Formats: sequence, C-alpha cells, structure tokens
Amino acid sequence: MATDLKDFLKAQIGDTPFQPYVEISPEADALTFYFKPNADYSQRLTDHVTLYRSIESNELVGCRIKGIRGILDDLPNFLHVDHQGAKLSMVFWSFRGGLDDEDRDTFKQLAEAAGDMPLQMA
Amino acid sequence: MGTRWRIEFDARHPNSPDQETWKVGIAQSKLEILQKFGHAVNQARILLVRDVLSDTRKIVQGWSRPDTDDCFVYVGGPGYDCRGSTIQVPPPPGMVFLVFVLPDGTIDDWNWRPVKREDATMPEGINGSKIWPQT
Repeated sequence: MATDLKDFLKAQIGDTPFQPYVEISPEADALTFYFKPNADYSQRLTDHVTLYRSIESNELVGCRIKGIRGILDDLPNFLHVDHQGAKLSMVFWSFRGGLDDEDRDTFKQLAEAAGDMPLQMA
Repeated sequence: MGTRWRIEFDARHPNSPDQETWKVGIAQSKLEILQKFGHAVNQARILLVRDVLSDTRKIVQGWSRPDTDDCFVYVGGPGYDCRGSTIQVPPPPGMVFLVFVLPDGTIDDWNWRPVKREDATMPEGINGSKIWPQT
C-alpha cells in the first residue's frame, strides 16, 4: 500500500501548472479557495473562516469558509444576483462587518485575489 | 485503493479507538479538483494523511464550527512535510498535522496547524471533545 500510494500520487500529481480555484463541498457545507500554490498551514480566524498561509513567508494563499450554504442562500437578499451571477469576492464582502482592522484587511486581500472569479462548482 | 472512495485508509474508530478501526477515504471528486488545478502540495500531502491515520496522536470530536459536532479531527506529527511527489522536507516547527473527517468517513481536508501555547499537543482553534486518548 505504501508504495502503491506513492506511485499513485506521483501519477496523479503530474506536471499540471497551478491555477487558482474555488471548491464548494456540499457535504462539508464549505468553500475552499486557493490562489497561490505555496506549501501552507492553516490558521483559524473565526468560527466560519480558516486562513491558509505560506509556511515560508506567512503570506495569505487561500482560505476555507464553513456554513457557505447559508451565505449563498442569503446573497440574493442583499444583492440582485443569482448563484450563477455571483462572484467569489461577494462572499468575502459578506464577512466585513464586525471585524477589526487587521482582519478586514485580510478579507480585502482575499477579495482582491478572487477578482472576478465566479462562484461555482470547480 | 478503495471502492467507496478513490483512496481509502484504516483509522482508529471514534467509538472504540483501542479496539476497532473504520474505513475513511478521499473522494474521487476531491482528487480531480486538486489534479485539475495543479495543487501539487495538497496532493503530495496525502502521504501525511496516511501517516497520521496510522499513527494518530489524538482524536477530537467536533470542528468547533457550526453543525460540525459529529465530525472528527485526527491529530498527528509526521516527521516530514511533502512539497511534491518526490520532495520531502522537515516538518514545520511547532505544528501538528490535522486530518478532518466527516461522520461518514469522508476525509474533507488536511493541513498543518500551529499548536496551542498552553497545550503543545493540541492544535489552535480545535476545541472539541478529546475522545482519544482519554488521559
């Protein structure tokens, strides 16, 4: 199994260049966003948000948001978009209230990294 | 390789960690996303997932997030980190490796996490019930 798994992963990884992506997991009710390929660690920010930071530089490389179903269901109540028209940056915008300046800056970085990335299943 | 998931492991069963194991695994859809977008580090670290599940230090129930009281965190301390399929480096200091498992055994996420200042065996931000070991 040990060798099998190593061989499997070697074939799986291949040489595909990294691209930023969003993964929505209905089972976990979570959204994962990575915009840099750096080796990372996780840092819990709030009950809903975990940040992914580079082990080497500590810079932000992604995040994970729990309870995404409620956020997506709520978006049309505040913005006139349906899910197909929603952008990832809107999710980060929804967290801005009630944050201190440092955390607000973190969400600003995430929104900038998200750019016009659509909010849809990867 | 498993059938219910693309990759399957045996892990200590949360209900009787000293007596039983259960099957946990990574879904094909998760692997496809990591492959499609070239996320090499997260794919390579599946080796660490395997090692943590076979040499678990702690099992915690609950992810300390809404509606995750029935989920599990397997905590371990692999002696290396993976940066690619053939690149291994020393583990980041002051961190443990976490494997997040849903109630049905699906492995949902995995990553390094700094330990708490007051308890170097527990990861920051994980405040669920320690179900194993009990001492």
